[in-house]
Amino acid sequence: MSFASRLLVAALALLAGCSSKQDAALEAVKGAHSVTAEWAATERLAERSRVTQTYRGEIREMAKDQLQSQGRILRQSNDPAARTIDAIRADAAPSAAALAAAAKTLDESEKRLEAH
Amino acid sequence: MKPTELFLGILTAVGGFVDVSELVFMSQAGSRFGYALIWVVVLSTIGIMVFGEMSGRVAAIAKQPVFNLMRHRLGLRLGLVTLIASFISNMITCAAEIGGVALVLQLLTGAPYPLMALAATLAFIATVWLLPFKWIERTYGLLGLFMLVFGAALVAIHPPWREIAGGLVPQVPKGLPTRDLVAYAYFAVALLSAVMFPYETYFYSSGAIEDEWSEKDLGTNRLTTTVGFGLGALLAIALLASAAQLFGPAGISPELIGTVAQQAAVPFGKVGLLLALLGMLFAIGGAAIETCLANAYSLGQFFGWRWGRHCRPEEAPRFTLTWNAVFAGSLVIVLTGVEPIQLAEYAVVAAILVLPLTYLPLLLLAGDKTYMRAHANGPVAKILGWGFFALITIAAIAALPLFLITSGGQL
Repeated sequence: MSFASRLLVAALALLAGCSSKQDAALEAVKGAHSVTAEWAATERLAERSRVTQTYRGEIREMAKDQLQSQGRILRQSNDPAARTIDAIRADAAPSAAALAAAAKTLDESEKRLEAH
Repeated sequence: MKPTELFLGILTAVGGFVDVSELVFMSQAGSRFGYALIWVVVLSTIGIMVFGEMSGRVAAIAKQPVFNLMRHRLGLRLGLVTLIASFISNMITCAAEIGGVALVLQLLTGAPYPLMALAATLAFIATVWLLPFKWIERTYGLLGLFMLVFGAALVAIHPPWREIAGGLVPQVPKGLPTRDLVAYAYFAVALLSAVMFPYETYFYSSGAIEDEWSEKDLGTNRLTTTVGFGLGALLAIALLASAAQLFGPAGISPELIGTVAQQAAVPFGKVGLLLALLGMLFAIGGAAIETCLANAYSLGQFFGWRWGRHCRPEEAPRFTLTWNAVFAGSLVIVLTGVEPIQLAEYAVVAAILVLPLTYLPLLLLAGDKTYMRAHANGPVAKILGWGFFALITIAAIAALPLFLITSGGQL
């Protein structure tokens, strides 16, 4: 391997290492914030009969799955946002308002992490 | 060519313009940066028009599809590197498309995702076995026109047209923190890659050979690539603008592909939702077939096998085996559980790395009067071609670091 290639691999490894250690929690919170907001939007549309029940049910399951993996990452870094995620997941059928409130809390967590 | 055929060809290009990566990146870019990245979509569309037209012209005049050129112009070693890289890129893209189709089917039917991925793959294999080439392209392209509901949805929500027009001007948003500026650069590169995916050129030029294009088809080629891709780009811009209007203020940067369909559900309710999901189903499905066949075309052309859907399977056994294997391999990737959105992110980064090596041999041959005679690149095509080549080379160099720094646009 030439010097240039080794330098490139080392630089990329460094970039990857830095981003994964420092930003995993922020990435998880951002993802969780968006997923919760998407779920809230779906529930809002469902309350006005603008989406099918199948669509609503599947989005709910997909959102719960995504939140599970994001919650796991946040628990590992002892981030309080994990509790918000656990609370949403524990509710079998949260309302649009409850989800919107959770999305707002996650937005605040996101801003807090971004400020660091 | 008959006007009806030409019209159908253009509509097919419109319906087939958007794929899973564009759905994801247009929506995420719009929700995160408002209208500020529309100019990148326009610029990339001009790029795909330039190289698409060039690849169709080379296929019609020199009878050379892209991977024939690759081996002759880049040499065996560099040609092989490009072949392997593009094969991997196309395979990931094909898996992302199959995953996207499976998710849409799941949203429509409520059936389990792995089952839908298997059903979609079997349906694609049956399509390629049973339909003639022209009808494979046409069926999915025309049914993909359900996607037009996204254009109608944008009009219905009364967006700020003046601000959308402002997005046509190249810009770097003011006042963004460094983290967001880097993310903006990443999305610019990702949109460029998503619009200029190399598989589109492989498929388009191979399709021209399948359809036995000649000098008389140059007008069709020009109209399909300019009007067809241009109208397709309007659809992509509608996705971006609706996301800016509906998703950005709600804190949504779509992590679930199905959320994109809500752009149509907001103004049109259940009918809008169903039309959007059907449009996504066929547009993404068409792209799955194109990426799969693009890989089989690439291998066949590079190694000099008999290739093409115009041949019976027993006349082109290695080509037939390859496209079946690509579908099977892509299904295996999907069944490992990697999210289609994640696959789409990997696909755009892999694709941009391949772009310069794909377009260099094309540029060289399209400008060669020995092969192209009176149809060699003129001054405008030369300036645009080399200008875009420089742009995609810079984007290719920047893509991987930007992907890693922003964690695929997540930070």
